[in-house]
Amino acid sequence: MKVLVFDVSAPYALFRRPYTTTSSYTLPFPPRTTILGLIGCVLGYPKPSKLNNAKVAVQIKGPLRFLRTGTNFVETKREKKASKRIRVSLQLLKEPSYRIFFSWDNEDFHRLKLLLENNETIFTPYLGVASFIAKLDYVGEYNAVRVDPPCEVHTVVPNTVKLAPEPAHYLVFERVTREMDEERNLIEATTYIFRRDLSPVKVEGGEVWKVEGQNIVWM
Amino acid sequence: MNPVLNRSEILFIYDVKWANPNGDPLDENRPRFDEETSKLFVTDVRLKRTVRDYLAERYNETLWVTGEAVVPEERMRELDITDVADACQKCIDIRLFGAVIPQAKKGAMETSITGPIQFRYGMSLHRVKLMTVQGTAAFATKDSKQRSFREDQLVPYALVAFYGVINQNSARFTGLTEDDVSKFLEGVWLGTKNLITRSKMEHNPRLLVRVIYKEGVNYHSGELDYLVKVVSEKEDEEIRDVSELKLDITDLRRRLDSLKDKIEKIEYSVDDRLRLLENGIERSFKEIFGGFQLEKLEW
Repeated sequence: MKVLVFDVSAPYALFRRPYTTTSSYTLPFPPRTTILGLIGCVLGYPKPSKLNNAKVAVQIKGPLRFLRTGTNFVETKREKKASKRIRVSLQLLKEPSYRIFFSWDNEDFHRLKLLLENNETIFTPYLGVASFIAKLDYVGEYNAVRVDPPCEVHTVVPNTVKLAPEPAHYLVFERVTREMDEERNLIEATTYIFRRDLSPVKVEGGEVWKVEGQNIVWM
Repeated sequence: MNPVLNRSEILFIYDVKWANPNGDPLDENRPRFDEETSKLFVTDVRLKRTVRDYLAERYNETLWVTGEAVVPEERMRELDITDVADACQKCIDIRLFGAVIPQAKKGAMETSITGPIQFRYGMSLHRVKLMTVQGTAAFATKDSKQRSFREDQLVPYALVAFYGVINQNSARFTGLTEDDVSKFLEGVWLGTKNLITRSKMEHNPRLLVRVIYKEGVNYHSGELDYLVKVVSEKEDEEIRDVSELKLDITDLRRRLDSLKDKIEKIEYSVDDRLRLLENGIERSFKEIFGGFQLEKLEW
């Protein structure tokens, strides 16, 4: 299986948790749908639904750091008695950096490779909010081969994979969107796991692929 | 009306003196500040507000986001907007920055329009000192003779850089024209100069660069704001005026040189008081970028 690998970073990012109503808390990594949107943006798709059958894995590269700041939102509901502005606090990721692994059985896969190689994007890529313009760095195209667990995995791991029990390690569990329809309604959510110190997670079972020395699991 | 056909990138640098460039409403309106780096930041919406206000005042343009508290449905009725295309045609700020326009029984995809012009948060190019200045309030309450205290949160000086991209492919969706872009650039420069509310006094535009790529190029360099740096004999926090610093643009020149075959021309505006450095030597913008087709923006 051919896999494109590229890095993405920005000074700030906000991957909003959909269940908070008053404040914007960020997820520590972009959900699968966000990454598909980002790739659709590079390719120039007005709608990313064409990418629904693509395979994506994400590795958190940089340390996770956060910044909290306030902003004014405009009230959009009709006939609200109180103020028409609400002050909310935003939690932003600071200088986040991710490695994206991407595989797709489609004629546009090669076009994506050419675009990434030449550092070109059709639309302007951003991380979560349009003001967080992202920088993409192409790493390469590699052949992925299957690896038999037990082994270490370097990407964020979905909970469909069996983890090896280990003492004295903090694991972070995040339940996030895996698939949405064209109107951004939730179709499927999955729990993903990574180690708080960002070191690889040990797994005992599941579908693991090796790409250039890194073990990945599709989201 | 020429549609926008070229990708371009914008670097905008301005400074503020004894002012609050962008207060944080949840932090007693203190200037937005990154404790880790001691750098100040300004949200993209602040800059967009500056541009919008300028365009409304100078050109009497219709705005979608007026700054008044109004629910979107009401605003749609006021402007008699029927659909997205109509909204783009009526409001210059939608053509520039995009918008979210509610439409009954439509999903998010139909109602949000991505703007062709995107800006990052502006960031000060040096460490900045924060100050709280106290004064007495002008009026007393009721009959009491005692007046209350007033508090101003401000920075004595900050040189702030904004980076943005104008995307020609997104421009097709909102119908952005070159005419809109030139008004926008004027708004960035003159709008910043015209900020004369009490908390935004002494905002001065210093450098505006628009790198225009050739038609058909889907490339942008990214992070132009990271390629300039402040050089000063003073400690960062002690800088109080643009005359006490120089802007080193050696890395910017080097990057743009490497992209020369992709670049059509560079539009720019530069303030007389800003001194530019290349490889340690003070030179004018025209000298440094002499190898490019240059166009000076004048208003």
